[in-house]
Amino acid sequence: MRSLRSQMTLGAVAAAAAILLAAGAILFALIHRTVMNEFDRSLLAQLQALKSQVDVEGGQVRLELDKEMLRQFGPGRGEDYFELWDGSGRVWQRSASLGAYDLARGAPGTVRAVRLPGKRRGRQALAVFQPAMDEHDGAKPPPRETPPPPVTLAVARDATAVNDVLEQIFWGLATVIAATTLGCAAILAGVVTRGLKPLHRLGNNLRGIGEHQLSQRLDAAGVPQELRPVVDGLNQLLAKLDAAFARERSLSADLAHELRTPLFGLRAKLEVALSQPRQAAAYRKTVQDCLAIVLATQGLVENLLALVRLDAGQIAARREPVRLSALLHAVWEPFAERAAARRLRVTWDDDAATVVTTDRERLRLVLSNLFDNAVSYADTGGELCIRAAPDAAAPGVEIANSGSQVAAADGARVFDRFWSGDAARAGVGTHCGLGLALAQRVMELLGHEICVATEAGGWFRVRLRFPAAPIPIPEGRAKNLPPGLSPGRCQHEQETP
Amino acid sequence: MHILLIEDYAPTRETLEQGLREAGFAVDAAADGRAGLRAAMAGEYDVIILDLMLPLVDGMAILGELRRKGRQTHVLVLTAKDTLEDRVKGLNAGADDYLVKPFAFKELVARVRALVRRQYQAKDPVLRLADLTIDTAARTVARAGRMIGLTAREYALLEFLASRAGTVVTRTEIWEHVYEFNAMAESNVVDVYIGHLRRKLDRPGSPPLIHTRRGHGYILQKDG
Repeated sequence: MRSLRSQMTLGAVAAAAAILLAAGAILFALIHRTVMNEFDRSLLAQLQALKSQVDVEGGQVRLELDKEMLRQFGPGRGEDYFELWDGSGRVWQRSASLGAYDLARGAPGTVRAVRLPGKRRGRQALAVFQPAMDEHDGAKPPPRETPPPPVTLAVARDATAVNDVLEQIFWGLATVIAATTLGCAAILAGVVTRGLKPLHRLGNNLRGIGEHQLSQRLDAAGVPQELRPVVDGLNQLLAKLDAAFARERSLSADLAHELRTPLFGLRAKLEVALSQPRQAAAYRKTVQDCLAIVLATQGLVENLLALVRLDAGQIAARREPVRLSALLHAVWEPFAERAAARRLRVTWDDDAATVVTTDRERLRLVLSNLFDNAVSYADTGGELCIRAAPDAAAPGVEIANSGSQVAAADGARVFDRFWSGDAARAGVGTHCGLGLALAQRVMELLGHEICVATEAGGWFRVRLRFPAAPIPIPEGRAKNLPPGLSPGRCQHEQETP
Repeated sequence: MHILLIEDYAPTRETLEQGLREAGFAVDAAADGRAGLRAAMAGEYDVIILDLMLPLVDGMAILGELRRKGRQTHVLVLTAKDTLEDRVKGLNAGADDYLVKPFAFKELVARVRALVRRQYQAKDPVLRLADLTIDTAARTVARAGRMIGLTAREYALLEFLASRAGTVVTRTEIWEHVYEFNAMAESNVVDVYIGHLRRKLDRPGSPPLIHTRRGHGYILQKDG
């Protein structure tokens, strides 16, 4: 795993080293150029001085040196060299320091590096010129004499000492750069470590927050400004996680209870049935009762599965024209027998021509849950009213049952999963499992609307609306509903079917 | 013995009602908290089996109301809430026993019987009077070592008399503890069952155990 500390340290050290190297290189280049320029200037000055000493006397080209110069070019010192030759390559004179060695031939006007006797490194300058006639004795040259041919004078100087000095400067600079780089590395490592401490503290605090401490929040006090957005973001994430975990725990507990209740019902029925010998009819009755419990539990599980799939976005909606009245009657058919058994008076008010664009199967699921609720929770001998008609704004369906035990104030809460009106579970009216929650999620998916109007002891009405253009409601569904309508409460709540 | 069962989930309620009745108890049932509280306040029950999560009136509220009104009826709480806090809360609220769903039906019956024994200060499940032995756990009756076959109703009547042995029990009390609330009260049905019991318990040579206190009721004791 890559370490941010080492990354930052290495990056900073590399940058510092690069800057130091560049600075050192530039400095060394400047020093080198200055020193060599001075060296070359001196060499060229010497060349000019020697050049003025070259003359022709009696057809002989010669370079006259005083004692000081002779010492300088003598074999003892061995630092300065000269050589004089003409266009034919004839060497007229060379310094004693050269011995039999020839200086390099080349173009005049430039100073260049050369190898000198003993393979020493040096620099050489040369000049091609017309030597002057000797006028020592004051006699003018005889007019018949032709001008002397041009000669080449080369002057060289041993640069070993200068190169040694430059080399020392180079290594000195390199040492300073290396030492500075190492020092920078140590300082930067400390600085980065210190700078990353808040991040380490943040990490330690985060590690301390487990599944059961999600209500904790990271302390923003003392956190550097740059980390504030991170801390704020993490705290928001923790809040969301906390809420999600709480929802999951609540849902799991509710689900466990919802499943435990019918399972215990099954167990009790079977244990009591087996507690003593019975007639075949009694066993048959027990089996029928158990089957009814299993079917109800299956419905709960299927609703839950559908909800989970909806939440996971695994259910897609189709669009097709659906005749509302025909669908309502088809979905109602299996519930008619139960309604009759509960002596419910069912009234229909549906317009056979009303057509909506929706997903037939998903809407069937919604209607099935609503009919199941209405038949289950209507008061025995009560009423059930089913309406399907075009509305001024959009087609709508209303399914209403009498004997509501949900107060008007709790209307919006019936869509909560496993909500129960009095904090207790019941099978007689106030309990809401998953049916309405599922209906709401499906209606959202389809872009339709669902709302509830209820009055304790009066009507419990669920209304569905199908706007011509489906409303996308991914989140915050209430804001997308038309004015005056909320997911939990319908307009005209006092209206009686 | 007379039991009040308050449970909202219909399949469970109907089954427990049937099973308890088959176990020899007289059972009244209520499907919600309001009806349950009304019945608990109105009737004389030996044990109330109370589900905590009820519509209209919560089980804890029923328990609190019973205790506030000074009703000492033994209450067995049934619930799906199984945490320690839930149990402590229930027992502190005045419950006599606590049973977490799901449970074995036999355990429920055993606990109800234990509560009935506590009701009559009898720790031993075997009631003895002279040479009469009643095993309330096995629901068997023997006299002088000879097993006696009784119907469920006869057994319930004998167990009630035995639990109040030495005390005169009125016909009304017998009715309240042996028969269900909805049962039609017939003027001589208690007398008829007493007659059945006497015929089965008493044998020539053995002293009668059930005695009539004219104008008051009946008493189960060795000597009349």
